[in-house]
Amino acid sequence: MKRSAQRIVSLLLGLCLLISLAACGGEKDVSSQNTGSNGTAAGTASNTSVGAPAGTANTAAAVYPMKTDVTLTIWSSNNNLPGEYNDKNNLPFYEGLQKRTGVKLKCITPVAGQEQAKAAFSLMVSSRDMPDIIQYGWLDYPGGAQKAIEDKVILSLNDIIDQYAPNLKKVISSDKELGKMLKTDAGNYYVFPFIREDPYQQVYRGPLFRKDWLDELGLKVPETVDEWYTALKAFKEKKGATAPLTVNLDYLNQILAQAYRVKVDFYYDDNGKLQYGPIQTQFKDYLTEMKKWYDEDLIDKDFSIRKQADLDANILSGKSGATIGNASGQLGKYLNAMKGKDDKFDLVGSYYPVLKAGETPFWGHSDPKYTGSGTVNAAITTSCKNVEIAARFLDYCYSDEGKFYVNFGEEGVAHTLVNGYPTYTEVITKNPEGLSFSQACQIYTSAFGFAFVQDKRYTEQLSPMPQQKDAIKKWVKTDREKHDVPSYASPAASEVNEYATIMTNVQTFRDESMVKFIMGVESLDNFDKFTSEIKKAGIERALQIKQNALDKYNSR
Amino acid sequence: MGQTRALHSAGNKSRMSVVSSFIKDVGCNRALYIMLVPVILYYAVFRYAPMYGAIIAFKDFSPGKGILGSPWVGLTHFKDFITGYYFSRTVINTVLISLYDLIFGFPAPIILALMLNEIKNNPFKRAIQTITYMPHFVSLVVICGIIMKFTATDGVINDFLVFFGAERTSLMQRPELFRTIFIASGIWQQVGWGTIIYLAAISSIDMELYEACTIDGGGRLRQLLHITLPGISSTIVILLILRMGSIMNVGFEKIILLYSPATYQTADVISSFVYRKGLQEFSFSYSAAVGLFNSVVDFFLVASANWISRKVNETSLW
Repeated sequence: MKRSAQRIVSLLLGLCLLISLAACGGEKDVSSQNTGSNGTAAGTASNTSVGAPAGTANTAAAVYPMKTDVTLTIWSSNNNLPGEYNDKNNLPFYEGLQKRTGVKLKCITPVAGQEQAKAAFSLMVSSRDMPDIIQYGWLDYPGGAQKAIEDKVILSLNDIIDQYAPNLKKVISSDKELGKMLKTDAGNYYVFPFIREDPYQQVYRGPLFRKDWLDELGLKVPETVDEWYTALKAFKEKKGATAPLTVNLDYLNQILAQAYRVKVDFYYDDNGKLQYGPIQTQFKDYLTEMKKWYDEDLIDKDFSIRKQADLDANILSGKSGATIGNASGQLGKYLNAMKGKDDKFDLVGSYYPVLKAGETPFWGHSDPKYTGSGTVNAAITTSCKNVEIAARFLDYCYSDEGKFYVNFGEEGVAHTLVNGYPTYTEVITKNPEGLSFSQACQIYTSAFGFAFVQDKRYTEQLSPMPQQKDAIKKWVKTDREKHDVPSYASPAASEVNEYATIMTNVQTFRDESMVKFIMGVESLDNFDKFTSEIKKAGIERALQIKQNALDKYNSR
Repeated sequence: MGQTRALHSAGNKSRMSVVSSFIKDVGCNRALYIMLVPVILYYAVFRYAPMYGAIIAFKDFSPGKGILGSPWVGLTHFKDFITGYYFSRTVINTVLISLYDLIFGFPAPIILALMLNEIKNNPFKRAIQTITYMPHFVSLVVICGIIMKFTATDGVINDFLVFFGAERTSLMQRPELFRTIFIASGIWQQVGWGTIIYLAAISSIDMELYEACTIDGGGRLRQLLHITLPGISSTIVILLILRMGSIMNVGFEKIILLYSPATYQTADVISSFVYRKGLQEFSFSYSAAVGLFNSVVDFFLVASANWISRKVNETSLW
């Protein structure tokens, strides 16, 4: 009896082992299947006729759908969708896109997660096992996009756009600033970009206040730093808020430093000169005020370790009355969360604060029109054997018809026309499987992110609540154009190492000292020492390098 | 002349006999050697072969050019690292955290194992063991989330301290407390799991020794000090030497999850600093150089510990 029991147990164990191996293997199979099909797809692409079909003349606009049997392989990391949608080949958007352009697609998606995507990207590039098109944040490539071209990873698109991408060419030539952003210092275009056409779409973060509390206390929405102080104090004393303003260090800097006409890093001052914020005298005033707020318990005591989830919790539980957040990610989420629970709960966006009433805010948040990082800008790789088809395929999304499709999907499925205004259907606005607006959009359209021009009407429907529209309108009203330093001005390859070393040291020291000053661990009398330490770390040299980079950028 | 020839042939014979006895052994225990082959292959392919990639520490690596195509820069990255503004601080923090972990974290499982060994009530003993094993399986991210919530100004630990008359403070923003919290939470998580190997070693001690001690009139404490501890001393020494090999590698994930600008001065270790630098410039070569530097130091420490151990008592890894 014992013998047979032993045999049964060992049989079961062996079975368990086999099943677990199969399960692991199964998971890997999905990604290996993708890379496997990448191999075969690339093979197919190179086997079919290399030249464009005789019908499409080289410089004329393409007729879509194109008559070709090329399959293009595209690599892009998962944009926001949950795991089961990882295989993009099944998404309705891509099916429709293939029909409309006439090109078959093979989508390759690495495992979700920024780190894994970067790792997968590095692996792909160093092994030269590349698809035809890669969607990636090319500014994140070591050395930038110019290096990616010099390393023969991606192609310079100048001639390609001239010959095969008339729609994109039209978009670029109508906007000079855009042209500068899209070129490397050497003058090469490198991507089919993701562009937002209106400032309304670029601004989505700013201060938020509990409107119901302000109304109850008879206060108007704060505009000056003193009004902020009064409101926060009232929140603490009369509404029992333990952390009236809940923020983390980064947000605090973004919103309040600019009230003192400085930023926490590089910016242009009122005379157009490049400055570094923390070494200015006004920065001391900013820190002094923040210290006062911290001492009086107006700022979250744990602000330097707070993550977004903590900020959410504080607002929703009534511990805080003010925070900084995004129009849909925070404002929309909070309002939705409290809808059934507390009908009085209301939020209002305020203007970015100023010191003197009537001033225009010095700076405010805004995403650039073209985002060099992020995972949607499409480059054509050196492994692409059908450059013309790839370029014309990507160019489709910039044509009127293509742009409309990418933004709004199929009529009747993803949108319906209401008085000529494309309105998203319920499958997107009230997704039956519980996906958010932007997630559902990624299945039927690619409005959230793709190589195309995003229509303003997408953003209007993304944040449809009146509070959101009102907030965004307020947040747009700033002088940021005068003071913002373009993020695309990257240092020259010979100076970038020096710059990175200086800036890592400076930023570590700056963040550490700021927290100590605000918490009172370090006395503000030592501010001069703080400034001289930063200068010792080499900030003047960094300013020089940055100025060189900006000069190069402006001469593009 | 004849003698030297005899000596030579004797030497040849002993060399020959090593090889032939090896071949004989393989013949006798074929199954064992066949089982060994995949393991050796695994180590050769996944551990030894990739070591050549460490040469990117001496190059200016760019993924586009590949390892062989990237230009040589010699010791530039090492120099950058050692003359860095925060070099001494990060190294000191790394060493201190590892040292505290050694002084407090290493004996903890030993003490717990000895205590568990003294429990006579078996169900109770097993219950304690299960309970202490459990934290090991909880994900590090969850543990750090719990720590952040507990140590917050309005968290449980502060409530506790207020009960004893102390003032409320934000514990994770105080650099002087960082190491304590880091090490203490680490001990809490790993102490149970760590007892396993010591309990196994204790169970291998001959029962006759205990009986002999009782006959000689030795109480529980004597038994512990003179039989149990010496009995597991070789296990302890081996594990200690192995521990030396990771002094420079403070687990960067836990640091990143728990630190903040407020605690950089005690929490910023080599790995977290290099992580932040990496976000600035994506320099694979720089982090490879730092990693190589750490490995060399670690290896030196392990080798020294091993040598010392061999001299002091016969126990050593090699």
